[in-house]
Formats: sequence, structure tokens, C-alpha cells
Amino acid sequence: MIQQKRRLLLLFLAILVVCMLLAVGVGTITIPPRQTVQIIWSALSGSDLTQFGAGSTILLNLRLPRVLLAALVGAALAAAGTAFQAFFCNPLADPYIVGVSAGAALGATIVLGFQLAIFGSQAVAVTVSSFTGAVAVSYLVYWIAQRRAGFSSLVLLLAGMAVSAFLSAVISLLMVIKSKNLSETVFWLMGGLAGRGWREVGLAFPLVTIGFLALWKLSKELNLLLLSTEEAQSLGLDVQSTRRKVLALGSLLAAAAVSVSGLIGFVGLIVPHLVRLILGPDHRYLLPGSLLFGSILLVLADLVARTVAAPLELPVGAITSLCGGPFFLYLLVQAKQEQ
Amino acid sequence: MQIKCQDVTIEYASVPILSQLTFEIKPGQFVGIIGPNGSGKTSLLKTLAGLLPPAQGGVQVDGRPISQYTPIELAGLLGVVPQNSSRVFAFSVAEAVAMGGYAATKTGLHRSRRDQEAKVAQVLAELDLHKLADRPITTLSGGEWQRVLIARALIQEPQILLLDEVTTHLDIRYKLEILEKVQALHRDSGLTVVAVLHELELAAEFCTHLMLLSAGKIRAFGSPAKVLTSEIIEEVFGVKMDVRLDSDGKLDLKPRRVGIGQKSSKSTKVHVIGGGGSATQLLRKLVAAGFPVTLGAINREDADWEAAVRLGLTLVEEIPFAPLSPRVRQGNRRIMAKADVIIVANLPFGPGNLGNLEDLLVLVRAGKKVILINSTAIKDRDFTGGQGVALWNELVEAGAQLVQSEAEVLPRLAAKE
Repeated sequence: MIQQKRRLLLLFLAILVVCMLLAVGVGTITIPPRQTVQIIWSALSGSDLTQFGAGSTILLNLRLPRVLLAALVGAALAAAGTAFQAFFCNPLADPYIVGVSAGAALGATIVLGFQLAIFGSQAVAVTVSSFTGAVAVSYLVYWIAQRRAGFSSLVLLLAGMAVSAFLSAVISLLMVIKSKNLSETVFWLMGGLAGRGWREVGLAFPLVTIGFLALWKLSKELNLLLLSTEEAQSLGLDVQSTRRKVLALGSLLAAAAVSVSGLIGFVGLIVPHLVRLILGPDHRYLLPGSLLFGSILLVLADLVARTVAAPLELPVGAITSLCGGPFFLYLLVQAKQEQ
Repeated sequence: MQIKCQDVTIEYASVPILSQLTFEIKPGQFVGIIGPNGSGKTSLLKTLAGLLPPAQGGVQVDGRPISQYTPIELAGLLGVVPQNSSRVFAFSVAEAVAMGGYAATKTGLHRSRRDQEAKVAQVLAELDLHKLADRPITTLSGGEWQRVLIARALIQEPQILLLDEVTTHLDIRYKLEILEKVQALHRDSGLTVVAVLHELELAAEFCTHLMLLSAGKIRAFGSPAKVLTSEIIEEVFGVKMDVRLDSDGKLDLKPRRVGIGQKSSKSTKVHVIGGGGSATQLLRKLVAAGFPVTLGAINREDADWEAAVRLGLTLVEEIPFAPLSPRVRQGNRRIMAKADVIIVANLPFGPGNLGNLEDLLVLVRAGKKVILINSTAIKDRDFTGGQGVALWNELVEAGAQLVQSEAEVLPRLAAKE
């Protein structure tokens, strides 16, 4: 069983590498996988890149960071989804459930609406502001849930919905007041990776890596969270402190993803769900499996987003929701029939 | 390893469930917590497990307040088996059982990964789960899942095992299987067991000690023979049980039916002459007291006829509203002749049912014991123009006993018994 799960994880990793090689090669200029490897090798070893012509610049400065970012965002959303599903002990929870998306959206809307900038860059400002918004709101929601007679995940859920609805209203108002920059904000809210580069990779990479590793280290605790609170406690789990950690790490991962890519729906909901069908619910395998699967999914979705209607780019969030929605309904109907 | 409770009061939503409990569970005991529904059995178990802090008082495990233990420390001492907990995620049986090793492997001090794997394999085999090891827990039957939960607690290698109604929803075979397994652990490895049990028969069979909860208190705590007396059972559960101590020291409990079709425990055969609902209460009381009762002769659809049918009594009946026919009276005489005592309820007499008194007079003169209930004077309930009163007086003269109320009947019967 365990051997088989490890093999499946290696298979996921191989698929991811193939998808990424494919994704960096496809575009207005096609770069064959072999040449892609050569260019990356030359760049890493510091050799002369002029022999590859314009291809190397496109690959290294545009496509590679974008594909890497897609993989990071997909990984972060899927890992966050896994964390929140364990937190709520519910396979239908997703990373946006505690208000992360609403907080991030508000942060981004403020920056885009008022044309703010950090270090002279609006992109950096959007990232920092949406990240701050996401983390702040998830903590606000948690604080509300905590205040009322201990902690209840139901209250957390309701508080998340209420705060999200309130913030959505604020965002709508801001968009009307600052309608001059409306299209930019709308496009950000739809989620996409257009124009993102090494700077965003640099921001997301450490957050996603740290968040994921810390979460992976809590695998056994996450497994116990899937039991009732009393069972988990009687088996030795400090339930409250584990919940706090999982919420913090899940919010961190989701915020890291949202701040560089906008709102990309359904990845965090569907990926853990699917991977659980393949690898089972044990988080020691489920978490890395979701990480890899989420990366694969978003790399492919982004590839579709930028090529299917080229030169027009579709928002990747629209692609994932377009495919994810019906697929998820299919899963629900399927599950109902099994019962 | 012992658990001590001192003045423990347990509340649920600020309403006290159990108050001021003081007791001690000693090492090596197999304690069954019993009591009616809602008497706080599960709450008490949760308090002993450290999952429900008492509103007042303190619980001590091994001389140290339970609140001072970390969850990991407590998990190494107490193994808790919940009642059929929910299963949302499809862990394999082996994975679910291995979760019991969380505390032992977490610190990394007392159990290596290899030891843990060996331990899981051993416990799976012990509980006959090894064939199910790779099955998703969501596909298990209730009995299999309950065994998985016990296996998970055993992986903890606890000193005290706390079981919460683990047998309640199982078939009798699994009930016995699980309790026998627990008993074997208790006997062979000296495991202390505290089990909330629903069935008194099982509690008596398996436990060394019983704690009976009732009305927020411990009604009795001690050996099964001391706790499960028929008096205490009737007081707490409101049912009669025949309790017998077998030669091997085991208690044999046999519940008596609450009403319908009840098997009589007394030998005095009682026949009742009633009508118009005058005998309904009396019939119920006689049946509850264990007398074999018959009724007649009586018209169908009469209130007393209905009560007797409900109680499953033998009766002699006439068609509705018709006077008693010679054939019915003959049947009634036959049944009255077999009775040890005949009771005449406080019923009105008319031309239709006067035959009952005429037949009775013959029997009284032959020496049959008869009790006449006279809470209403006979002249006020005689609608035959004096014949009823005359027969009544003749009955009394011939030796029928007169009582002024129904309440006097049972003591007289008991005296005869």
C-alpha cells in the first residue's frame, strides 16, 4: 500500500515536469522540449545563450517564471484546500471559506482603485496589499469565532460568510466610486497570471515552501482532526493549538496564492477531493499529492488560458471554474448514487 | 493506576446532571456504569476521560488532578472507546487503528516506528481485524467499526480502558464477543476497565463492580449482587426483575413483562365480576401484583371487557347489551368454580347481570371465598327493584366478606397468599 502510494507520488512528479516542459515550449514561438532543457541548463551553468536567439529570452524571462508561478499557485491553493478540509472535517470546504478571498480582493481593489504603488510598482503593491487583506480577514473571522463560548467551526463558517458578504459590498462600492480603473480590478478578481514574472515567483516561493512544509509536518495531527474533537483529544492531540496552526498555515498558503494571481476558484476544492480518491485520506500522502496535482492542474489551465484564444488571454480563474464547476457537480451526483 | 472523584458535579449547558459524586475506581476493577436513559452515564465517563471538565470538584488520576495532564500524557494512561463515532473519510482499517499510536510515537521516546508497526499488526490480529486491514473504514459494519475503535484504544497501551456504550447498537453475538475480549484483557493483563453499559444482564455478567446512577446521584456502587437487587431495580428502572444468584456466583436477571400477557407469579386464582368500568383499575392492579385473573360474565364492548382484553385475561363474555344467557352463565359458573377468590366490583346491577349474583350465591354457600366491594351502598346501585339488594344481603349472610373500598382488596389477597 505504502509502496504504491510512493510510486503514485513519483508519477505525479513526472507528469508535472512533463507538463511544465510542454507549457514553456508552447506559444507564439514554439520551443521544443529538448531545446528548453538545453536553454535552462545553459542558463544555470552560466554558458552563452546567444546561440538560442530570441527563444531563450522568451523562455527565461516570460514563460518559465509564469509556468513556475502557475505551479506554485496551484500547489498553494491545493495544499490550503487540504488544510481547510481537515480543519472543518468536511471534504467540501475550500481555502476561501474563512474570508481569505474577500480580504485579498479588498486589498487589491484598494490598490488598483486608488492607483497606489510600493517602491514605484503597482504590482508589488497589489501583492502586498492583497496578502495583508487575506491574512487580516482570516484572523478577524477566527477571532470572532473564538470569542463566542470557546471555538466552533460552524460559527467560523458563518462569520466567514458574513464578513465575505460585507467586504464584497465594500468592493462593489469602491469599484463604482473608482470606476475609471474598473477593468483592471475586474480582471484581477477573475484571477490570472498574465504579465507575472520572476518578482512574483520570488514572493510566492518562500511562502508556499514554508507553508507547505510546516503543514506536511503536521500530517498526523491533520489525520486526527478528521475525527471528532473528543476522539482526537483522547488520542493525545492538543486540538485547539493544532486548529490554530492549521488555520494559520492554510490562510498563509491561500493568501500567498491569491496575492500573486487573484481569485482562482475550485482548485482548492477539487484537487484534494480527487487526490483523496487516488491516495486515500492520510495527509502524509494526501498533502504532497495535492501539491503536485494542483500544480499540474494550474500549469495546464494557464496553458489553455493563454493559447486557446491567442492573442487574447483568458483569465485562468474562469478556465478552472468553467471546468471545475461541472466536474464538481458530477462528483456530487456520483457520491449520491454510491450512497 | 486509580481514578478518584471528589465532590464532582457535572453540568450540561449549566444544568446539573450529576451532583456531588465521590468515589474511587481501584486498579484491576471492571466497573460497569449503569442507569436509566439520561442518568448521566456518558457524561460521567467523559469526565473520567478528561473530556468534560466537572463544574465543581476534582478528578484525580494516579493522585494527580486530571486537568494537570497534557493530552499526550493522558492518552498514554487512558484509552477511550467512543460509541460508534462518525466516519467521513475513508481511512483504511490499519490507518485508523494506527492513529491510536499518536501519543506514543509523537514524543519519539517510548515507541519507534518499527515497534508501532508491530504493535498495530499484533492488535489487528488480536481483534480479528487483520483480514480487514486494507478495507476503507467507511465500508465496515457497525460491529467491525466498533472493534476498530477498541483496537485503536489498545494501541495506546492504556492502563485504564473507558468504554462508552460500545455494545448498544450491536447484535447479541458482537456484544458478547466484544465484552469477552475486554474481559480477557482485564483478566490477563490487569487492565482496569470502566464501561458504560445499557443492558443490566451484560453488566451483571461481565463486571466486577457496578455503579448505578439515578436522579443525579450514585444510587449504589459495589458488587453486582449488591447493586442489582430486585428492590433497587424496581426503584430505579420501574420494572420488576427476578434476580437469582447462581451457584457460581453469577447473577441471573429475568425481567418481568410490564403488562400485557404477563406471566403470573402468584398462585391465588382470582375471578372478578365487573361491568361499566367499575373493575378496570382493580384488574390492572391484580395483574401487576402477579395474580392470575379471570373476568365474567360480562358484555362485549363494556369498559371492563376492553381492559381485560388489553391485559390478555381469560373472560366469559355475552354479546353487547344482552342479558346473560343460560349458556354464558354456565360457562361463568365453571370458571368461578376454579377460582380461589371471587371479587365483586362496585358495579351497578340490573335485570341483565343479576344472574351473576345468583350463581355466586350458590358458590358462597358451598364455601367459596368471596369479597364484595361496597364503596357505593348497594341500594344506590341496584336497578332491579330490590332483588339485587336481597341477593347481596344473602351473600353477606352466607359468608361473603364486605370491604368498603378497592384498596382493601390486595392486602386481603396477600394475607391469603
